[in-house]
Amino acid sequence: MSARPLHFIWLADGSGSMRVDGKIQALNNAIREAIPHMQTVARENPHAAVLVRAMSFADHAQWLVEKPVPVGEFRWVDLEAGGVTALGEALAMVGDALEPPFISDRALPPVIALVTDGLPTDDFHAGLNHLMSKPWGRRALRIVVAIGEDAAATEAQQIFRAFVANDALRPFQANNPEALVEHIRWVSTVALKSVSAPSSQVAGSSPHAVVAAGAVAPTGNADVW
Amino acid sequence: MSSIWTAISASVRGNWHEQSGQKNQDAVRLKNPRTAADALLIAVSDGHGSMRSFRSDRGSVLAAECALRLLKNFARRTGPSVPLSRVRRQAQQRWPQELVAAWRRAVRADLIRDPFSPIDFAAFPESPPVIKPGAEPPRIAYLAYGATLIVVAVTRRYILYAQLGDGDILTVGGDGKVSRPLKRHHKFYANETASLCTSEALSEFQVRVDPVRAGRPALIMLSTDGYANCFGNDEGFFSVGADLLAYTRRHGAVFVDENLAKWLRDSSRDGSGDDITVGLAVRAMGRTG
Repeated sequence: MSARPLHFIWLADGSGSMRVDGKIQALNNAIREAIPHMQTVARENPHAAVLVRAMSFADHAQWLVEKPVPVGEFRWVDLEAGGVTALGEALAMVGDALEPPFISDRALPPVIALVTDGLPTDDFHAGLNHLMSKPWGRRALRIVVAIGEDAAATEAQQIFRAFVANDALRPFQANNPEALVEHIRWVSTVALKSVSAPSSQVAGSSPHAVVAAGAVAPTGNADVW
Repeated sequence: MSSIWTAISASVRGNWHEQSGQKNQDAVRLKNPRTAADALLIAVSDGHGSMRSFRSDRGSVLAAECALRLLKNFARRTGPSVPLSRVRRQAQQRWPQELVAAWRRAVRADLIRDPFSPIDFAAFPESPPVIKPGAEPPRIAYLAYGATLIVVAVTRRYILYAQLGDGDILTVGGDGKVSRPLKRHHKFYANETASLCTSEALSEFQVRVDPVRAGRPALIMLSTDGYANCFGNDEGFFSVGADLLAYTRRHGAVFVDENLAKWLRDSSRDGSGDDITVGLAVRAMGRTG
């Protein structure tokens, strides 16, 4: 007997703009703070084996944690910011990482959590198309936590919505460190719990209605970013 | 000359549904043969259990009951005088059509008896559809009852296997070799499944009819996907089929019948957490009719 694998991938923006106003430090703190909550949720559901990976993207995308690590052993190593925003490259690499033998037939829907403060500088759509050409990429729960006012601009929101590809689930907007912590904790717990459920979905239907129904943005403090 | 077959089943609510207070979404119905000339029939259905399929526990019961009734009729009208080629043709073309139509009729009848309430649709943007007698309900009405189906019919002359959506049918030879009689059209990923509730249901049906051959298979297992999902791979899952055959030979079908629900509960607890339903057709050794 074995629990079903559940792959969770952090996709963190390490571009130069994340240095401004302490955004990168806030991201590091928020993810580090969320990990114990993720571990608690995972312990409460022994039927899912949560495996975590992490990738950052700046001038290029690179794995911070390439081999899936059981959530109980996952540690966040502080990310430093510098360079441009190669999000398209990152999505393409995640697509490749969601193929056998890296993911088994019996896995639960993966979660891809993108945390970013702005627009990609490379071919985002080519990367997204590559991710969505993979069955597990299409079935993943894709969530965006957008940081700061640049990420709230129309062009950025269009990109985030294309990534999420779920009309019922909007990108989260964090304009201060407290909101970032809240959003990332939500991603780490509610979203994780939701995809752990064994309920079936009719092929071709929206796979993550439960998450969408529960996606309530937390109220934040005054805007900083 | 034909063997006597015995049908056994068990269905358990998964840990996940016990914790969330959701009912068992699976259903199973079976008919044991009374004589060697009689057919053994098993139908297993798995209700989707998702937010949109909030009546899928009923949908699976309706599916299993419709399937059993239609299989009985099918076995009756495909008696010894009907060539196997025609049996196969009817099984692949006519039977799925009848089944889908019967399930939809049963859903409509259930909706007339018990219409949707505003509470049923409280989480959704649309109002509950009003179902009128004789009118075709919208897609979301069928989706509320969404379920899969797997069946087997063992007659004197042929074994019919049929499947729509996820779940597994395994055959176990007398030598313990396990195989799948139906190869999947395509893979399902991450709890995705084909369903009785979609307009593609007919094209997704897979049906196979094999002539009965001496001693093959010794056991047929039908199970909802909650069972296979307890195992890391097919190899582990297939070993269940061989183990069940060994148990029936060593301890008898009654022993397996008495213990099956406990084994499934243990599997759900230590594995997928999902509801698990299993139907078994066991061929008795050394008996002919």
